[in-house]
Amino acid sequence: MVTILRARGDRSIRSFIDYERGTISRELYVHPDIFEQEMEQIFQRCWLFLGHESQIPNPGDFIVSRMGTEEVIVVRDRKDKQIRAFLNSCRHRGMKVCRYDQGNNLVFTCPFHAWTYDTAGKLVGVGYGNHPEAYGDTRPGDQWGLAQVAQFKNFHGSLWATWDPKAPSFEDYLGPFTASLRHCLQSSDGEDGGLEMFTPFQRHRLPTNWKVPGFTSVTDGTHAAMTHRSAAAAGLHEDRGQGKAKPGTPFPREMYAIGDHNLGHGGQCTFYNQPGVPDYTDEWFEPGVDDYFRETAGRKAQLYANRVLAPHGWGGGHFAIFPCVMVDSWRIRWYHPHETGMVERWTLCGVDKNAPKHVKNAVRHYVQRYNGPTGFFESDDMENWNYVYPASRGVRARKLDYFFANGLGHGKYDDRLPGVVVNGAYTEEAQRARFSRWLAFMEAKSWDDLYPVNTSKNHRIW
Amino acid sequence: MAETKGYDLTGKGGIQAWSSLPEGTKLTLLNGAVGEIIANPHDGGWVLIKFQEHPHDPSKVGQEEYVFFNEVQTAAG
Amino acid sequence: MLELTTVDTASLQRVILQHDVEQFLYKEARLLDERRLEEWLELLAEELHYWMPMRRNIKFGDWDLEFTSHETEINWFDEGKDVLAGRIRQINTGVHWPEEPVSRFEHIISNVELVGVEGDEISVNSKFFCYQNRLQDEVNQWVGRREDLLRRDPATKFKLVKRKIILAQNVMLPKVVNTFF
Repeated sequence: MVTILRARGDRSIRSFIDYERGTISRELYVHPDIFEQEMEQIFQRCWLFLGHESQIPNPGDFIVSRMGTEEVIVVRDRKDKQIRAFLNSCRHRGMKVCRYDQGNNLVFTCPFHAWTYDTAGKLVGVGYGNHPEAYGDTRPGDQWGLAQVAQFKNFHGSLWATWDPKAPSFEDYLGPFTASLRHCLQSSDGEDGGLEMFTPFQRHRLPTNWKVPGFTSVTDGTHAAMTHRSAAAAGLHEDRGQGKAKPGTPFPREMYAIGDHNLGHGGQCTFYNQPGVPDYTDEWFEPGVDDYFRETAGRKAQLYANRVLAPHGWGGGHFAIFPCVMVDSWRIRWYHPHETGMVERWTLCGVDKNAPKHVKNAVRHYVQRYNGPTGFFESDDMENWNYVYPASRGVRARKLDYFFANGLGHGKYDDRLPGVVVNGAYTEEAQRARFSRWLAFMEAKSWDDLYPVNTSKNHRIW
Repeated sequence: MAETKGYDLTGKGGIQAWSSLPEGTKLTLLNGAVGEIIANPHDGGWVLIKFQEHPHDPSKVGQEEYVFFNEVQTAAG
Repeated sequence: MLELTTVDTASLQRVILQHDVEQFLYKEARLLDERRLEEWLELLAEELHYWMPMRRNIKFGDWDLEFTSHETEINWFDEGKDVLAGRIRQINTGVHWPEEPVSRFEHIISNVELVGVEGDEISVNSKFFCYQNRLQDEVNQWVGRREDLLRRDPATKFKLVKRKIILAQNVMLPKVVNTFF
């Protein structure tokens, strides 16, 4: 039993969730002990998103990304051209060996004592390494290379890593969502890995607990009407041109909120009930953009003439990969915790790499004005996510529970996504699934307790 | 053969000279070894050289190694 | 001592232009702070390009990499008057939550420097300090400089044609940017 909060009497982690009422204690969002355990139990074990291969096309190219509270260098080696990821911390005294956001390097040189690592992370020099009165036979060897992630995966261009050697393969970690993620990384004509990402990462701070947006902003079906009231009222839903969309032939499909309680993934989901793709509907103001996407949609329709689309979000809508990577068919948004009440949010938006410039520009302008702290839509989210935290952490406030019972008891398993619970589109099934998996991680001694699932264990708690 | 040019790695201009040493520059190290720069990371500390002579360890000849600026006696290109 | 009468016309015109440009920039700031956002919009040319690039941490000398490109990359702002008008419509709904209740903004403009005059168009550099105070204790601040192109205008004295906003930030530290610079 994992316990916390000794100052207020031992409580098991499990006691913070009331499965029957459908509530969780507010301590989960505000208690620093829980935060510290999450960094160890979740962020040291899970597969985390690092970036996209299109950001580092050439040998020696690197970007600095994050895994939870820590920075990692993602670099394409000069010799074997492979991409690897390393903790951005010198093995000697822990200084950052890279303080640039991106670039092209021969080596990463620590500015402190000049310990120096090549683009495969190998220690290739230390200051005074050959000095007769210095290291001598104590000179550090190959085991003093940069700390490398335990496992790394390039999944159709998207880059992922975990610190845990016992974590299952990335595909096993995704489970039934493997096809969904693959689909979201395709270009609009259905070609695998057909996206390139607009650089750089959009990064900004948000004073709240990472789970506020990270766990509950995906498939938060009931938030949009009020949170984004201003965007609708100001006519900004037509911002991409949706106002001129012509109704096409309705495609037979079902839309749900779904949650995989065993793996923690979930979100919006569309099941496509027959081969083919929905008709393209015009939606762009900029001239020529609809022409391009109509043409690529036509090619995709040919590709899927006899195939059923993988389940994925609603239209461009999103699902999340545990713990907190939100994936759409045109952007990836994810969260890096800093401390209990501070999170950094990153966004990376994609476009067909073969699209003409006017299409890339239209998409780029759209994502710039939509997303993040300068975005029409997401600025409203930031306010709500922000003030959840101070209003929940008071001594009285934290004794209350959050309501997560929307749709509780109405979820059903569906053969189309084995092991995944399917529920009404505006329910909180995906959030409950993330907390099921959260509890499993917080209680697990190792990955042995976490995987395989479905056959050997069921982590669904509600 | 082109005229060789000596680089002054000391004094106020030393850091600029060091950081911009081109490939092909010949370095003589304090221990007497000689090598040619094959890459300069422009980090102020290191250059990658290929050894041409090594008085104490002939097996290093032909090997590549990063050399720290305070191990270098002279640079000429 | 220099007599006013001895000042040549060109110098005097330049001083008057400096004065007029400063007054224009101060007025802009005042309209923003007094929440007269639609009046601020009237100071913008129809073809305005309003651009705030992101700024990267880069190696000394890699200056070309510092600012994100408005041709190919992601910027904080990279838009025209139509999008700015949409932002103002949104704030003026009264239900745009990060600006409801409304903030107390103060824009301070300084270091106004005329860098070029070509016909009706004037290139001006200036600096800003923008302080935001809202609710009880939320404080955000932005410091930076601007490279503007103004065009003489009979109705408003000038119109803003281009603005590059060079913000002294890397990761955006405030959660929302809900004002204009």
